[in-house]
Amino acid sequence: MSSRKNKAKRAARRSATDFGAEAVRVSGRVSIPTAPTAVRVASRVIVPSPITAARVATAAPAVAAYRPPAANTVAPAVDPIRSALVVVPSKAPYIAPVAVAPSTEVLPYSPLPNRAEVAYVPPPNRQPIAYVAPSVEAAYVPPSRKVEASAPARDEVIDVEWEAPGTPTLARSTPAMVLTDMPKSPVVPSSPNPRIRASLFARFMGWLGFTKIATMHGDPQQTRMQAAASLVRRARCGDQNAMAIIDVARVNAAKGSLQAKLGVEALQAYIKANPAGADMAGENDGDPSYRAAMHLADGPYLSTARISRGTAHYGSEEVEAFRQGFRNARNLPPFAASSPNTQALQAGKTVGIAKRLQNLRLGAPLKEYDTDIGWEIEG
Amino acid sequence: MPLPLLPIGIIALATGAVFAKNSRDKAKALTPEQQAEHRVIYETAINDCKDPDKLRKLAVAFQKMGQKAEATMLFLRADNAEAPAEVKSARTKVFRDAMSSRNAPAIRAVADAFDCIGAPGAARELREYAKSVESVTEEDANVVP
Repeated sequence: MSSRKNKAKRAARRSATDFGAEAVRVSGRVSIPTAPTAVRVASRVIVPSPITAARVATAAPAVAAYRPPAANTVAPAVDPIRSALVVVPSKAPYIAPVAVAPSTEVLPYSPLPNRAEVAYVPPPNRQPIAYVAPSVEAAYVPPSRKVEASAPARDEVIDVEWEAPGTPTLARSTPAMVLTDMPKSPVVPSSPNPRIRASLFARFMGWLGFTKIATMHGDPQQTRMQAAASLVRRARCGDQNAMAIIDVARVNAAKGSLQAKLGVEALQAYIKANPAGADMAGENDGDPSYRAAMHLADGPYLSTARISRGTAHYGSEEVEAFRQGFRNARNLPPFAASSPNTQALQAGKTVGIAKRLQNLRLGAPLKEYDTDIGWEIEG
Repeated sequence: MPLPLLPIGIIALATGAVFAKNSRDKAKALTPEQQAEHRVIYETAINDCKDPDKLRKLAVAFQKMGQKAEATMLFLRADNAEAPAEVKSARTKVFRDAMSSRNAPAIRAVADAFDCIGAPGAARELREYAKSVESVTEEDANVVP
């Protein structure tokens, strides 16, 4: 046995010496690779083929050409959006100085004020909806309800679906109607949502007449809806106490508090019935010129003769300012605000918008109303 | 036998996770300056670029960078520009009707719909009009006869 082992050792040593510099010493039990390229796999040792003069000759040019990489020589990453800038060559010089603006800056001319609004765009296969009735006065039906039935191909039909005026919904009620129509119910016993039921004890106490009435900050007794309306209005005006109360109510509702759930339901009902803007007088009224233009557009047609009669008392400079405002009503340049004849300019703008609105209602092409909107809709 | 499929499933899940992570990282990897630059490019394209092919190219670029919302909007805008004539005329009619209406919620709904088809200019105009309608209605209600 021992002579056989020694014989094997000698044979292995002999074969190992044949590999020159990359020799591998193989003992009887353990293989120890000494060369860096030798890899031990299971019980076998894989060794490279012997280094021959031919191999050295082949590898020499590659070795001579090799240079270690210098520091900081990594190729700059190509930004595909930057490279795609060629698609907007007309504004490329203009955007260069703005590009370093911090990400929080709100750009002045933003079609979509923030990312959240962009992010809500639904996937394309969910948006086409049938166009049924021509009147805009009809109630709006959310698209998602009717898309599933037919699922027409994209852009085959128009995008908004209407239904004939039917039963009035809470969403179309005015704020005053909401407040007066709501029954003066106590907080606990009656719930507008049948899924949320007061406990048996609370209902029993309500039956006995021991019910709590919502009060806030020493205000007189209010119904739940009145309290919710007051809270929402205060929060919309920036009252941080109201915001905190709403937040606490939401947290408690999430935890399962019945009163908080009822309160949040009332808050949501009020918000749904009165979207932001409906009860924020003065803050969200829009452009005053636009409002005045609406009044004008609802009146008699603004013919050239009629406009000329209206500007008869203007001087030559004021008439020029009026014309400038009239021509550029849709996009008055910013420097126009500092014009000495601001009033005439604004009057021109107002009349210009009103005239365009009237023409639009009478069937003029959209491009005459606004070039960009015309391109978007009429192409 | 489902057992031999198990490693394949695990590998597929792992690959999917790696791809998802890479795409998320790609979107997060933008510096604030890059984000601002991309936003300016996006808004410039939305406001001024009227070539559907160019819009699509830019949308693809945004998609590669992981900014899917912007990419979707640009794709929609490009598709909107190439809509059939009858669709365009129907949309024109809806816009005209909305601009003649006094129903602010309905006008806002039309604005939302125009936003969904990649017409943010029309949507913005309708929202402005809806605001004015609301304030005018309120003024009318406050007038004492």
